[in-house]
Formats: sequence, C-alpha cells, structure tokens
Amino acid sequence: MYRWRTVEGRPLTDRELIEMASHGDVAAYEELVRRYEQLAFRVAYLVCHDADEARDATQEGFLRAWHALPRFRSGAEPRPWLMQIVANAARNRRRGSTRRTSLALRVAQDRPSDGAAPSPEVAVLADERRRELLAALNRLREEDRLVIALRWFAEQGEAEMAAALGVARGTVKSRLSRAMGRLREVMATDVMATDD
Amino acid sequence: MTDRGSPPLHALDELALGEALADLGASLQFPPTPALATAVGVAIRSEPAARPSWSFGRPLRGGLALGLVAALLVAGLAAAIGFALGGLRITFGEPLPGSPLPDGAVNERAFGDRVALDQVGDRLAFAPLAPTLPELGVPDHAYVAEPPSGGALALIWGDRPGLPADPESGIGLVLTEFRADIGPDTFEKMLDSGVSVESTIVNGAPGYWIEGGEHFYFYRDADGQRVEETLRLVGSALVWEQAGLTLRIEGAPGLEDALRIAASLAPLATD
Repeated sequence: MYRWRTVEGRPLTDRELIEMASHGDVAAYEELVRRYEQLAFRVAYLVCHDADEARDATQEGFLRAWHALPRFRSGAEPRPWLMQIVANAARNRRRGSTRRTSLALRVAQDRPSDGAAPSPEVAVLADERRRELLAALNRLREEDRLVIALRWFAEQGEAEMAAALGVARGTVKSRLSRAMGRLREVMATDVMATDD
Repeated sequence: MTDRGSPPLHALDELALGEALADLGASLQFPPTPALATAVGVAIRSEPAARPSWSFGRPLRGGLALGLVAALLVAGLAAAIGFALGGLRITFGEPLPGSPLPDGAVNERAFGDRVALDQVGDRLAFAPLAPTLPELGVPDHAYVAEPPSGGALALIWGDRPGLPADPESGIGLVLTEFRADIGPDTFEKMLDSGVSVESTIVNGAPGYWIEGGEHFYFYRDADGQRVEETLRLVGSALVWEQAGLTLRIEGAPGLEDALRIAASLAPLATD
C-alpha cells in the first residue's frame, strides 16, 4: 500500500495528489492520471477521431502536464487544467495528421445499467430515441458535432472546450448554441420528412 | 424520460435536450481506454531528471536538483551569448519581486530581453502604450526585442480575474507593439491555413481578430524588411495599427474583451 492512497482512511483528493506530484511524487501523479485517463482519452478520441492517435495524444498531454506542474496554480482544480493540456495535445496531433477520418459514434449494444431496470417497452423506446438523436448528430457538420460531443459526451467545461476547439472561451458558448440550434433543425426536418 | 408521451426531440427545451444528449453519451461505444498511468509513470522516471523545470522558486526534492543545475547552466549560457528563436534573442533574468506570473513561464518564450518597466522607454524608438484597465493592473513582465528596428515591446500579464491564464505557460495576456505596418495579403495566407480571421475596427482603425490553431503572420519592420514570427503564443489575437505602431493583444477571452483592453490604451506609466 502506497502512502498516497489514503489520508486518515480516505482517498487523497485530486488537489492533494497534484500537490504531491508538484513536489516530484511520480506515484501520486500516476494515481491522478489513472483517475482521468478515461475522460482524457475520450476527449482526445472526439478530437482525433482515431483510437491510436487519441492514445498517443493522451499520453503526450499527461507528460506535458507533468512538465508544466511548476506553473499549476496551487489550490486550483486539477481536472480542467489536465483536460485543457490533453485537448491541446489532441488538437495539435489532429492538425498534424495526414489522415482525415470522420468521427463515427455508435450506441453500445449493452448499455451500462444505471439502477432500476426499465420495462422492455420503455427500454425499446429509449433506445429508439437515442438512435434517432445519434442519427441527427451524425448528419451535422463535424464542427457542430464536436462541440456537442465535448459538452455532453465528455462533460467538458468552457475552458476545456476552448482548448479542444482552439478558440477563445468567449466563442465556445455561441458555437455550442449554434450547434444545438442546427441539431434541432435536423431533427425537425426528419420529423417533417416522416410526416410526408 | 423516454416514453410515448415524450415530446419530439426537436421540441425539447434546452435542459431536456441536454439531458437526452447526456443519456446518449452514457450509451455510446468508445474504443477501450488504454491503461496510460503506468506508461506515463515509466516515461517520467526514465527521463534524465525527475522533472525538468525553469522554475526558480520551488523547494527542491531529491533528483530535482540535477534538473535545476542543468537549467541554470543553459540559462547562464544564454544570458552570456544569447541565442535566436524566430529572429528574437532569448535571455534569462532574475524574477521581478512579487510577480503573480510564474517566472518559468516566460523564460521559455522568445520575447526578447527582460527589462524593468521604468527602463522600457530607454530601449525603444517609440513611446509605448499600455492598457489602463484596473483589473489588469501593471504588467507582470516587460520584454524588449530587436529586431524589428526600433524595438518590439512585449508586456505580459499572468492570471487575472476574468482572464484565465494558459494552463501550460501561466500566461494570461500579452500586448506586443512595434513600429511597423500590416500587409493585407498576409491574412489571406492565414485563411488558407484554416485560421479564422475577422475584420474589425479598433480605436477607429482597421484591425483583425485572429482565432484558431497555430497562426503565423508577416510584418515589415521600420526598415522595410519582412519579418516572420509566430503570432499565436497564448491564444486568439487582435492586431491593428495605431499612431504608427502595430499592436497586438493575445490571450483575451473574446473579441469584446480585446477591444475593451485596446480602448483603454494610454502612454505607459513608468513611475
């Protein structure tokens, strides 16, 4: 058992881990990476559209963050700071890549259970609705799809999204609002086409 | 909820559509997440020093001492002979007392020679300007570079309220100024590179708001020489001409913020 796993029987907070890491504790930093590697990888995947590129970008981002630790503002939340650096690394990698794959999102066959099991009818309807929403998303321009995915699929805040998109923070809100508007338009068009 | 009584998706209000998207996000199939923590740890431990750093203010632990010695040697060498990056000389100086901007942030940037604010005017062939917004306060650092002819001034602020610093560099805002003019062909080149350029009016003069990705630009210095450097150091940029100077503001959260900062410019107070 490493000393950084618990303090008085509780897990260390992110802030405690990054404080230890900033004093050279690699094991504490590994624990921090472990906590955020899934989220960071998903953000990188949404930006890069490629699992291998996303893995490399995520690792590169975490290494860059380690080297940037002297500039981490003590007392700040580590998550948005880490995510911005990983998103920057992913965006740079995407820009430098010669491959131009589009982002393919699919609904998993076995959705993780979130507690109470719905009735089979409700489950089918919910699944249909998800597929309808995803189909509309997949018809959006890539720029719109990315900003929505970062917000709702990776739970990114404004600063994190700004880093991933390469725009000023003030632009994120308007870009997300426009993307949501276009998503509604696509879904409304689908409904009209069905009614015809 | 998703039942037969639910409104159509396009008719959902903002909150409900967000919930539907979050629900979809929980159902999406992402590639399996690779186990990166160990790989990151191995990569860090395999580096020559535990953590290379330009920072001068932190307590040293174990293997960090070696990294600092190496950094100081490089810094000393640079201070003695200087070296060029993007046409500008890099030097390393002692941190200004009480600066809220981490000192390591700026030393890695090619802003030129670090100078005290009250000595800036002695190094430039023009009267420098600085924003007077109370929330910005005085710059944390000032750098002067030459070329371009007549000098280029970079004023740098760290984190400020409403002006978050770049997570890696710790730099919140940079104002650069020099005697030069901007050629319109330059910005066509940037558009070709996928960078967004928006025409705007800054203090009554034409200017450009540049956003997205790495962007480069060209300017002609006071001797008519074309100089290339990286424009984007910390974020989006506003560039314009005013009183015979080319000015640029980098790192403002949005165009409105940059315009507000530009509108507050006044001769740099050095007392």
